[in-house]
Amino acid sequence: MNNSRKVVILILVVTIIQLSLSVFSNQFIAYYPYFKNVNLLSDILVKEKSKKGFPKKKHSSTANSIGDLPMNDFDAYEKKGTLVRFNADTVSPALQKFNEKLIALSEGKNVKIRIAWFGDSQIEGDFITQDIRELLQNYFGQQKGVGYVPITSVSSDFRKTAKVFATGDVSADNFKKQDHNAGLFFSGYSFYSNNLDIDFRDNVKKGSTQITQKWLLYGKGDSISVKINDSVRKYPANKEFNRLLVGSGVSNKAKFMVSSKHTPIFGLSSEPSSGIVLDNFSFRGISGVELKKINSNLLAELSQSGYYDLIVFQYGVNLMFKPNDTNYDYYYRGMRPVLQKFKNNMPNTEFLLFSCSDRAFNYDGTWKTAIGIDSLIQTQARLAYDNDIPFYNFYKSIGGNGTIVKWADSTVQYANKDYIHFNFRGAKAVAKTIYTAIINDYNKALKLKKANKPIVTQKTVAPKPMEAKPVVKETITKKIDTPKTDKPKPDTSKPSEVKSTTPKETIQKTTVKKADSL
Amino acid sequence: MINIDWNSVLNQLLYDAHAPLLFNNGFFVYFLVAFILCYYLFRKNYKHRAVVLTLFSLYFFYKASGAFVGIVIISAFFNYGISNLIFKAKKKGVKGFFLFCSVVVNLGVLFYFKYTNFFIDLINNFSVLKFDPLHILLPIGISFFTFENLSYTIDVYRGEIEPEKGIVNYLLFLSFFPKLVMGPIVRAKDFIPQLKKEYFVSDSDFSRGFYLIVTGLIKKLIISDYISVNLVNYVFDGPNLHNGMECLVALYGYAIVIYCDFSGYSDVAIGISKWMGITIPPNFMSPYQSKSVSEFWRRWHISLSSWLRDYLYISMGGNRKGKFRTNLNLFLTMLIGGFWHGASWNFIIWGALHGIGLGLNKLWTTLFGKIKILPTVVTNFIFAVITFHFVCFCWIFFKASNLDTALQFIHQIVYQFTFDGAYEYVENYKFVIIMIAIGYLIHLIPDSFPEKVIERQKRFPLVYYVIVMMGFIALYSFFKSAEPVMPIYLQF
Repeated sequence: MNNSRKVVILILVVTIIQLSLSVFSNQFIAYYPYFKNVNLLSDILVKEKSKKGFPKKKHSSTANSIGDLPMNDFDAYEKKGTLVRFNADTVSPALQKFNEKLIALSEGKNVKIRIAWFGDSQIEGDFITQDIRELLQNYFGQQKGVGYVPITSVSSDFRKTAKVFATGDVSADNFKKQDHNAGLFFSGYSFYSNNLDIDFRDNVKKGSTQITQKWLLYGKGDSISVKINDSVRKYPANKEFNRLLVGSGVSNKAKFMVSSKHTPIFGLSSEPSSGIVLDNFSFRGISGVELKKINSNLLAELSQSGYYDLIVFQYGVNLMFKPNDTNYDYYYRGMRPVLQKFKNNMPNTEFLLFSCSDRAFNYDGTWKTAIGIDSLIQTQARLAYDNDIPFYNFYKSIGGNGTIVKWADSTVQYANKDYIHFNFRGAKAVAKTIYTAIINDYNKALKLKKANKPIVTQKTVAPKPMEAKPVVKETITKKIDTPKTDKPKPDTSKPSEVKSTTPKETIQKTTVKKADSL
Repeated sequence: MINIDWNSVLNQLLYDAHAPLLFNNGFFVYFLVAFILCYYLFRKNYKHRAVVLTLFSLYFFYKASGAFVGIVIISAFFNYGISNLIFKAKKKGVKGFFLFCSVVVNLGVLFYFKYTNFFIDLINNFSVLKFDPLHILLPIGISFFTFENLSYTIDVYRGEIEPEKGIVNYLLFLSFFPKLVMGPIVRAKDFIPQLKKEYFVSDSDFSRGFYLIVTGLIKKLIISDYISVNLVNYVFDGPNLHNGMECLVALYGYAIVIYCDFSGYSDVAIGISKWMGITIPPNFMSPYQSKSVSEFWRRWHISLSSWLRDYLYISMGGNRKGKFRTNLNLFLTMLIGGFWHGASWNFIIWGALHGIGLGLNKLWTTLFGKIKILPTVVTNFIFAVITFHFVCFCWIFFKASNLDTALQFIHQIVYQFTFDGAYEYVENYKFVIIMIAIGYLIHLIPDSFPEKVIERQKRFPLVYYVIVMMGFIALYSFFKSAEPVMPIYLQF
């Protein structure tokens, strides 16, 4: 029997049923909501204006709960391509002491500027930061060095800019698992070993005559024993942060043995004697709240020694773990004490808070930017605003809504198909964008300098209206995340004053094998 | 009541680069209805029927690839003309010359669209001369219809077929919409004669067509897409973010993804063709059941492997020029076959690995083929497991976007393998793992099972087919909305 007619009838019957259901889809969807995915009329019906969406300014669950915001200064968080300081001043740079030091460096002064760059898996393997480091080091004096490198991490194998071949029995504490009493370093790690054999290589390309210093960084404990060139010596570990010069010269390598059963080893640092050092502190899957585990005394010590000039917080994508989340109040409550802790304990350091980058979810078969992203960015901006920290709208600067989808789906990919991570190409592109924002800020400072105007200003934003928050909220905040016992040490320096640019260098010029106390 | 936006209706009829036509577009339903009605209306006259089918196929091509439809039309005219010249030429040298022209032009067009930037990149790496890459879009299906053109002119040259007299039939052979995007590669000598027969769909054809369409769509749109989106794509994009265990599971997942995607599309194409009264031979036959690499290539993308055998391997001398040349020919055939899949070193490596695999396979058979120690069932199982893992290993190169990523993927499996976090992993990916398991279970179903279903289904009334089809649509709509499984990025 010829079934050709049966073919036609089957196709027609199925289509007619499907079309009929589509016509009455409003009623039918109540019984089977997934029908919207196979509605044959969805592409050709007159579309009603969507009532959904999250108006950027008026919406905010956080705004409702924390207090209405003054929208004038705060609005600046939406600016793209620039670091903002939440005030009407468009002439002054957002970063002040940092830019002063950059100017000093560009004038040929012997200055070292150190940046701690916190982030999650987006900067793992030195992604993004390796390119920013390269761009900044190229721009300011060509003095190269990879900066901080952990003994080992989940991305050690992948990282191109440095290699640590570490053999021996190593145990590690980290943000998620802590067996020892001693604290964690900025990396979120501390390492312990009786017999750690380290062969370190800084793979950042440098001039053949440039000298790099290779430091072993360690924390507070009894002491550590280090063997360099067959000579074994013990070094005290009585400060929260200690470092030992294990090599200095044109070589990019360092080889030594360390025994440190009870003293936390933080990692290594390879750096030029002057210039820019950018330390990558990536920790997979975190949101920044975990930084509360870093000891206040460590922060204070680092601040007193002027170790870090700038600390960047680049977090956010891990907060969007559910497609329909739009309320990030909990993040405000969790992250605010962390920022306060850093600010209170590190008065000599400037800070910069990044918004999250773009992240997309699959909404009914189509990948789109997370619907809660505006709310999250507003929350992050508020954290910056309330703590008087400059802010960088990373999301808007790289293109805003739809960027990650475009980058992951293009023929030449710039992002991975998880719609979260940039690949090497995308990381390079966003690094360029971030670098441009930093240089724009620097150029503002340079203009002021040329006009003989002060770069460092007194706080322009006096008591902000936002700080007058409902009492209830404050109570909650403290309950959730008040630092336990650490109180900020008396602050002898004035935060608003220009910090001297020289002391660090005198500290660094120590002899090999001598513990460098800071 | 419904309120139709007629502008949208008109826009739907035009090519949209962001939504090229595929079997799962809503528009395809309208297309299919319009087509089948016209096709049925003109069923009595095969010439009219061919014209209808050609017009719809060209329109499908236009909706899938825009103005590139011009390339398939020009290509059809060119090959139609040159095949007649080959046929009419008296001297072998003249025939050879025309064949040479056909090969150069067909491969030249393919080369331009597919490989120009690859070679620009190669030159930039090895020479002081630097060229900017060109912005070239790849016309859909060009790899497939280039091979179809070549097989046709070579067959005419070899005297195996006479050139087709009607240009419409030839144009239809190239543009036939069910196989346009992802094959199978059909041969003119099998395809064109069927166009001239009566439009006849037997009970068995109807049942088989239905079975292939439904199972093909399930394989492609549900199993493959779900595993792809929720695991495979992001692990392969950033293997450094995943430990060895995650990478290995993603690899097993990808083996199912590529099989379900490719064979699913082929099955739908073969099924729709069946409903048009046209038989296209099977393209996949449970390839992961293979017990050797050579058997794998008899079961995997059969239309391609047989094309490579007939037109490349045999043209290079096949096995007629000694053992060394046989192995070399085999290796080169697979290497070129790999390169056909895409313009990157990864595909070349993938092809080369299969070439080496086939060579080692032959060597093993020669040395140990007759030695039997273990029972056949056991050896078959061991060889199937080894073959499957060899194929999986090669898939790493096939799927990874570049060599660095492929090597990183292997590195993770070898050096970063850990079961730490396995509990969280299973918890997070349970549905993906279940889907992968279903994929393998479907794969392990004996070939006799579908035959039984097809045979039994023949007796069922139309309502059965309607219910099953509606059931599939409901399932598809559910999975389209399925909550995405997000990566957990295990650290410990």
